[in-house]
Amino acid sequence: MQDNQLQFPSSLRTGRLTGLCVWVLLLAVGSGGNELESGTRGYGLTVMEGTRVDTFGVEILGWEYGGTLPGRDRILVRLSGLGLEKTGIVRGMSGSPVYVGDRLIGAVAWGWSFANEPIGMLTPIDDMLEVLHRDLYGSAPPQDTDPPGTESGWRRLGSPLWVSGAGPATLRLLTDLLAPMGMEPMAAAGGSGLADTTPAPLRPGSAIGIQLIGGDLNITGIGTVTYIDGNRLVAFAHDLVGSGTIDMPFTAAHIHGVLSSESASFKLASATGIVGAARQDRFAGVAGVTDQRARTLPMTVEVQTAMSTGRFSFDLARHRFYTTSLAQVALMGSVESAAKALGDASLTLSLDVELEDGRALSWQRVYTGLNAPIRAALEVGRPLRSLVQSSFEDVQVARIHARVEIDERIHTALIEGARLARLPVVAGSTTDLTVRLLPFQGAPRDVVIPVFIPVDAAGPVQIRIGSGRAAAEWEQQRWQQGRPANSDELLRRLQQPARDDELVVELLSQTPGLAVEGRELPAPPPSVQRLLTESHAAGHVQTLSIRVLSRQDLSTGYVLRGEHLLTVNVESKGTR
Amino acid sequence: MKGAVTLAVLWALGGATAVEPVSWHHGRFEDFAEGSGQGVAISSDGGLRLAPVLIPLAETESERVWRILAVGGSLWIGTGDDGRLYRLEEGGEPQLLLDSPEIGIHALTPAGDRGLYAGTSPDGIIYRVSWDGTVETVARTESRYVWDLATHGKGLLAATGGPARILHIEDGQTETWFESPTDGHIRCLVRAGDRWFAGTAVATRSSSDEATSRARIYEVDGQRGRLLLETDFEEVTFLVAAGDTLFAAVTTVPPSTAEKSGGSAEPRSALLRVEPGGAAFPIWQGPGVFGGLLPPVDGQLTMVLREPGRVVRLRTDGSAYERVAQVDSLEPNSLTLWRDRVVIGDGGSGRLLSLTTAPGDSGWFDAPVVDLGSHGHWGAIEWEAQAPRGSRVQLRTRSGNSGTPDDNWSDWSAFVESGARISSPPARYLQYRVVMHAAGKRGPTVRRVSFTARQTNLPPRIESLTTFAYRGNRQASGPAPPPPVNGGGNTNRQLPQSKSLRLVRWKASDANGDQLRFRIYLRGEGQQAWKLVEEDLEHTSVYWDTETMPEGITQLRIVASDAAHNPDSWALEDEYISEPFPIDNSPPVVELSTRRDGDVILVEASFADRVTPVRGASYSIDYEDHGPRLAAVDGLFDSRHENAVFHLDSLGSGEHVISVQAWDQLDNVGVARLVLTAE
Repeated sequence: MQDNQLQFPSSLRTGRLTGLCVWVLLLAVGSGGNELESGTRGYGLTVMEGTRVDTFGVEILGWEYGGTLPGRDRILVRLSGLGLEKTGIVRGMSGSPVYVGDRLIGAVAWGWSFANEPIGMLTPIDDMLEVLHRDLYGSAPPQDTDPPGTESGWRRLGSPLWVSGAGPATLRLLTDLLAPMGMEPMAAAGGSGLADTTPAPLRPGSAIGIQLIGGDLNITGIGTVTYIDGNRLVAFAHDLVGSGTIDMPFTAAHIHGVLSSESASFKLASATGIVGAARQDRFAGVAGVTDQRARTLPMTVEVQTAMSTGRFSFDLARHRFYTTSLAQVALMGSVESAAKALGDASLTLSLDVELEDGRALSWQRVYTGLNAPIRAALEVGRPLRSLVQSSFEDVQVARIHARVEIDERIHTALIEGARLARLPVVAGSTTDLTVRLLPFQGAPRDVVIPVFIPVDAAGPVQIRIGSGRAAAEWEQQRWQQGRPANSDELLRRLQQPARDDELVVELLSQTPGLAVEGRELPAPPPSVQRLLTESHAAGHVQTLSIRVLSRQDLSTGYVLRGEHLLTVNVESKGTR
Repeated sequence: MKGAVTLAVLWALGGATAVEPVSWHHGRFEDFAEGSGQGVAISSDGGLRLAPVLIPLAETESERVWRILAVGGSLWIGTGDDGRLYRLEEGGEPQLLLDSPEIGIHALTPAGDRGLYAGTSPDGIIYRVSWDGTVETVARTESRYVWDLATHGKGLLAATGGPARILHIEDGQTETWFESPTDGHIRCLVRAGDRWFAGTAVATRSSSDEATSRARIYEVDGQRGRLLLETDFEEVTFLVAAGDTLFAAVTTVPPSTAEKSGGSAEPRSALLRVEPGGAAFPIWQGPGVFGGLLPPVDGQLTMVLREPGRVVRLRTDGSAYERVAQVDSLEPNSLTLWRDRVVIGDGGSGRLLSLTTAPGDSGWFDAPVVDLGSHGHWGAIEWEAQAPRGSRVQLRTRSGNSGTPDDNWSDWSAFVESGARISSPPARYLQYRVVMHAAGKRGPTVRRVSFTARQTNLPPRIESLTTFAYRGNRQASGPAPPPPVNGGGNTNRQLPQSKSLRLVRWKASDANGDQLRFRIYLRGEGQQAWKLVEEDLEHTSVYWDTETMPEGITQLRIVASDAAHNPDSWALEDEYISEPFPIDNSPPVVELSTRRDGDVILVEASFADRVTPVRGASYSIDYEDHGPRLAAVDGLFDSRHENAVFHLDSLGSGEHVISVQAWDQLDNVGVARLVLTAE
């Protein structure tokens, strides 16, 4: 036998697993000074129904050294009992402690997809205790970790994300958002996530959950407690999202049964009460405490339809990467619950985000069409992500409130053209601009906008007409804004109006200007321009070539498409 | 051989003697203006004297200082790019009173016992900030910029830009006092007696735009604006008044160097004295951008400029001025008097500096670097100074071979006595430092510094030499030769017009700029030694008639010498030898013979040239103009001996003259003929 080969019992050398043995693993049975000989038998603990902890059999098959990460070993085992011979290793068993004699050696963490024998891998208990012994009471620092990708070959048992309170469209959105991060949302069998039962005391083998969303929507990853030390516990035997230090609610869980599946059997589960806070999410497990609660992000959603107003509240797990997706799902779930997810609709979304220091972001958009709710849910992620993932220390989101008004008709119009009432145009005067709108399934409509021509606008001037969203794009083209200099500028940028139902008329001139600290200084005196652009202290100064002389916004009630550009020569008014 | 050669001069090499002692005399303002120092002023009459010194006063955390104002014993500081207002007490640190959402606080004016007003950009807000830091928004001007503020009765006047207006604000009401759509900004306001005046600025233009508008000064009274003066500048940045007379700091800033592809992008400024009727004349002009101007005190104005940063004082009639201090790292952007001190706010940092009220005990001044043009040796240095008893003037030098002093330069020398030789090493560049020490309150004045140097003689250089047979200008590769010049050593010679004419042309230079003299040598075929054919030539081209020269392959040698302008022991030479070229003034020899072949007459021609290959031949019958070209028997006319055959088969009866011409490489033509009688 060579040390670098995977050694299987003879019964496994043939059959369905043979095709899976092509992976090159560094494995040696009983080597490395470990006394767990191949064939050693032990037992494990897990919940297969309700909250009762049952025992299953374990046979040690070998050790894998450094198979996934440098210095990370795993124990190859075959499980037995509790129907595992039929179901294979069940998702939700992650963290189930395994003992040899009276010694805890590790916890179930890894299995194969499409395996019909309960062969899996344990995470050694020493690795898990490293997680448990980390700081579980400090404040959670920002998580900068990228989302974990999916793995090939040996597969983490994973923690099915049990979702309750979400409709099919919401579940699809959740899947779209979280699947790339290796999470698989599944509709919970138990209806409302937090069951009415008082959580049973946790013990090794108890089912435990990590809650991503609580409240009117519940999303919880389910695993098993491995080891408890006073108020500290470690579970899962692998990471949930691999973010290191986290702060997410621990819940108890109720197991409704096991659903056998060809790909991967799993426990049917529901989260019950909050029992603590997860504070460390590492490769070898998730550790937390039972004497503290996680600090969640409250979010409320108000959905107003012609018939009624629905109000929803949620507790979102705070996580730099996932919170935005969770908020998007909460919004989508609320709209789907109170109104609908698909079909003709026009939707006005008002988002208010309150920061810890009292500042707030107010953000509005309108959508219309067959999939307006989904577009709204996707687009609301942009401002939220900018805040939740902000690199400015003073941007800490305190609460989120979204208000949605839904009209189940399509309100859209094409900007067909525009004309000025009279020429010449004189600086300092007001001239009427008539904009023709062509509504969807409606008669053309003229909108007259009195346009004030600023007194310093003499010369060639362009008049640009479009929607608020188009105007936001013009602004980006005119002014390539880099990273905001501070959080005020970030909020100011996010708050810039870009509603599709706003008709925007801008007067532009080809005049040099500056932007300093994200603020525009149009056409300054030459000496000021010189100082700001030539100064050795510059660096946050941008030069601009087009100046917006004026901007007027008019609400139309339509989601607007199309844009137009007029060029006129503005005559000087003369000196008074 | 000399004298047997006919040479005609073409054109001269310009130049002047360079290896002569050169003297510098620094005694005017311009001579010192590019220098820098500390505690030494340059006056308009060229003198150097001890002056007040700029010293650090305080520093804010802001990017730049826009406006400073002394009110009630405190110094108020408006800054950017954070839109903050600080207050500074004597001996203290700046205390932040207002952290506005604006970018810059550009205008400050007292608000009586209620603190002061502050005007901002880019939202054009005017705040009132009380002594205890209470902030109240007085007005939102709906202009982008508030550049200046002044109290007017119980109200407030605000000069704004974008658009250019003067607003009158009183009891929460804002009305337009004056507006000028033809101007970009009202930049400044000043009251002279009972009259109000406003200075304007254009809006920054792009590099492609022509400057179509000018900065103006208006007299304004709330009813109308009267144009008092249209300047030749883009911006009236500051206005101050002395009685009825205005002083206007005006500036023109070319479009940013970043967008300028060529040409000068340096700003220029002037201080205009504007008489009550509008007559204006500059009392000071110079490079840079104004950063501040104080009203006159004792008939003297104080102003600060940047690019480079400096403090200048001048008489209100412009009769005299003085550059008190220059600090290249400073970008003065505001100026005020605080507790009898001149205080300057920096536009490139949050620093404040103050000018000491009296000159220091000592100071130094580094003169501009002097360029000798090439490596040289230094002579004596002397200076003229008025030094009261006990005061001192000292001077030291350093030298180097790069235009800017750096580590490769020599160290400063020891102080030298006036009239002594400069001890710095020979080099191309030299700088001197004047160190001045006062005796009590009396300091010295340096009126003049003079010194001498001499370049090291460097050899001349002949870069090329060409010679070719001159046929008008058809072979010339260089510029067309001009008509002959009567000058040099060949004044009596007429330009030969024969085919024997050659043009000899060379290019020469001298690093010292010495005027060169040339000698021409010749070596003919079979000769070993060079024969001098011409000397003391000052020109770089000659015509050479080779008619009387022995034929054959020949070479020329040109020798350039700078001896005429250097002592014999320093004189240096360079030489250049031409490629071998032929002298051939003889035509090919043509020999003819005939034989008859039936009715056909065959003519056999042989050609021979002594020096150059036969290049072609033709024949004619009975003197016709253009007879047919002949082909060489061997297919190519390429050697000094060639043969050709042609036949005559259609001659009419009677006598005929057959002529055969052959020519060589230098177009010498040989002819032979024969007479035939046909039946």
